[in-house]
Amino acid sequence: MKTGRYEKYVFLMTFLSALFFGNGIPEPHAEELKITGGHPIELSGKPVCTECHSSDTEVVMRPVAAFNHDSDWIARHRFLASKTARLCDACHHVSFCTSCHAYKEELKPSDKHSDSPERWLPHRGNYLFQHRIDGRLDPTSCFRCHGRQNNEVCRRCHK
Amino acid sequence: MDELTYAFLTYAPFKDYGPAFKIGRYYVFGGVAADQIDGVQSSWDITTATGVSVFGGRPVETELDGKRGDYIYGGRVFQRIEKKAEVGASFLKEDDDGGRYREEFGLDVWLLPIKNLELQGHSFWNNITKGWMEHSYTFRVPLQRVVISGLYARSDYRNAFSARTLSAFSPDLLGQGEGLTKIGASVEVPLGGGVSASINYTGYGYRKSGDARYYGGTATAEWQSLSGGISIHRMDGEVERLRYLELRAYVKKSFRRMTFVMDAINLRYELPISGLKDAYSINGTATYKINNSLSAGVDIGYSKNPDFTNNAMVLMKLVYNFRKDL
Repeated sequence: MKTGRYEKYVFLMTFLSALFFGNGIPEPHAEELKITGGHPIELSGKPVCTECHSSDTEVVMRPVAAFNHDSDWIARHRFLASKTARLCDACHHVSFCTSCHAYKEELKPSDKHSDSPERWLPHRGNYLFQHRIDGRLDPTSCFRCHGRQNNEVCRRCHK
Repeated sequence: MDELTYAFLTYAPFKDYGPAFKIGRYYVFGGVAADQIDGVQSSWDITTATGVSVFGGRPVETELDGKRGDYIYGGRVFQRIEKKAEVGASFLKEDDDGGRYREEFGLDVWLLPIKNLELQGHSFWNNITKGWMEHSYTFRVPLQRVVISGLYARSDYRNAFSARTLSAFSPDLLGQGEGLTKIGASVEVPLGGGVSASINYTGYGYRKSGDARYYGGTATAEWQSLSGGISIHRMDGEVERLRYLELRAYVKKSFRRMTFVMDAINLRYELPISGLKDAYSINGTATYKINNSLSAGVDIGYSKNPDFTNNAMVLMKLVYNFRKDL
């Protein structure tokens, strides 16, 4: 595997600087917060839990900061969704997930949610040419949605 | 029936814990499973620290050879260590026409080894090809004024894409024995007043192909009903198609029931592709919210890229949301 030497240093330096400068994840306490019946206050925009919750709030035995929907949320939401689905259910229903993770869908998520550019959804603009570049760059990210389903449009060319 | 996205019944007699049941068409998320099925699922958080979920039914996938003999089932167990960790083990088995199609095992972890460091990720094993499909791990440090995060992911294409319904993931196209190692890091700084800035770097290392690096920065701002964002990224690869500059900017403004969005993307290739060095796409959206559930909108887009020298698109939408969360 030809991982570039720069990448290793960037990862290592970021990791070490995080350890050195870090002092921030709030100390969780043992009390469970039970919000599976729904969040008590309606939220608008991307929730940043720590804007309202005190530093020692804990949700399903994790610090509440883990659930902040910040800039890397799209990349890491799959890890939490596979572990804390009932917590996700407090705000999101399956219709929310399937608006992007579709089965047979003609509309791209970026077209369906064109009035939400802040979600930085993939496939923006005319993606036909760019998909050849992105598909070679990281096919694993394509496979999650198009590997076994939601590929009716893809199959017009990729028989 | 086959066009159905989801339709299911949930029975959860206990408010927070205790077993819950689903039946119908829905997505199963849990460990190695991220699959849509027609079937049943039961999940049970036995205590706050221990839980189990199982599912079984028929896979909802692109059908190439009929549904007879197609089955899928699996499950996940987890153990949490209060404030410190969650470890999960999962498996999935799928038969296609009665034959072995997928046998996958997964290990997933969430760790908080010290109060300022959160680690999570998973490793998936393909028991048919006898190899690791992927390892994917992230770390994250949310501080008072900055969020630092990193990513390590490694994938072997032969093991990861062995069960596919699309030829685009075939080794004939992607290369025999090819694999990807991805390492990245990002730093996000909330600057206050609704303004946030971040920088990110991702390195792509391949077994066979030339490596690539993607890096740049993003800034977003939100002020009352006005929001906007701008990003600039450089793709720096060893092959020609992976050498370009990517720019994106958007602005969004709401007036009472109307929402207007302008969104533009520009790709500047280092060497011309099909004679074109500058590809771009500009989209404008206007949406009118008729009531809490119903909205109408129009998208107008124009793009120019190596495939289409002039491409215009108009899309009219009438959207009814059955749930308020969409």
